[in-house]
Amino acid sequence: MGKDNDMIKSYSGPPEKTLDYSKVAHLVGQSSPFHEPHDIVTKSDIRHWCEVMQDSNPLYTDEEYAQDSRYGSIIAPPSMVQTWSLDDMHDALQRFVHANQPFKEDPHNQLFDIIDSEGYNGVVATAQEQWYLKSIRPGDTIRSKITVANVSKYDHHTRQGVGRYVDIVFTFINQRDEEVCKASFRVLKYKPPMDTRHLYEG
Amino acid sequence: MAPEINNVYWEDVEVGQDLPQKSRDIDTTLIVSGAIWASHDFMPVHHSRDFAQEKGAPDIFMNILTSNGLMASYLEQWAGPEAELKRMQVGLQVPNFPTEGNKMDMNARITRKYEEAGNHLIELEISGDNNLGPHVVGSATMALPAKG
Repeated sequence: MGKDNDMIKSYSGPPEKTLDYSKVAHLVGQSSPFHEPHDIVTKSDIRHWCEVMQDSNPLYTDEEYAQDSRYGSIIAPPSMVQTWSLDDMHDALQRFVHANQPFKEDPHNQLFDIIDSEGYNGVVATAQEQWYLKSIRPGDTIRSKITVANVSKYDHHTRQGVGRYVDIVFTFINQRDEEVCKASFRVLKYKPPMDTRHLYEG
Repeated sequence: MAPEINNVYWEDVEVGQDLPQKSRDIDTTLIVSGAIWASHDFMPVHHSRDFAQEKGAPDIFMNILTSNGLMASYLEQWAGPEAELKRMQVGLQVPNFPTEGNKMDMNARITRKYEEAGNHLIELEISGDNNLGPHVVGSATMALPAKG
């Protein structure tokens, strides 16, 4: 019995570290400023999207049909909204390959930095909901901001590992400050499971 | 020649009705062109096999915007250009990998039919399944034209 306890003891490390919610509480409810897109909405952006989706809706690509429609011109597929707010190639590679992300001061980026530094450096998107409020047209400038809506206060035990859910809200507006879309997005930030391979080595 | 335009009218649909299934082959070309060409998403797990494998994934996989776009298009193509997609929610489950013969089967069922603020609306349950299981499961709200 005593021997068994010794064996267990010899394998137990320090207690598992867990995120103290008070370290991130000040970021909940905070929003980034509206960021400008790299490009305005164009007909070619829309055509490329429709080509990939095999979407033949004439509102998106047929000038004549769209002019006679209730919109009076070509519009973009509503689910395309986020396309214009993503990083360009340079920023994306800086962010994902060189860990040098743009807009470091944005509340959601500060939040992810803190959570990462606590060991929850895995990330997986789990859900998204978008409300389409106003049509998007060629020539529009789509600006977006990101708000931190919620962070789980305690650890969740998931298939991926121990983690925290983070809910963020996107607000998309056009050049007339009209809201074109609101979107909620849930990601799981998790601790990648312990690498146990070394236990079996040698 | 322009493709034939078909509109589905609110009066002609009913709760419990299934939309015809549509399938898309999931290959490397769709994943890469969906990420870069259609949605301007340069996250390398969606176009670089080396990068994806370095991150522990077996292969590149589809980005969310493309999954979302395919599901939205599936609904809009069924309903026709007079309809309007008002809302779409997706829960993300197993990824879309470009494995040999993989495809995503898209399905939807009408779960509610109602009028609100002059709109003739339907709600749908939606799903996209691949060779590993459910890829997306969610719901959507659409306004359909009414015969008046």
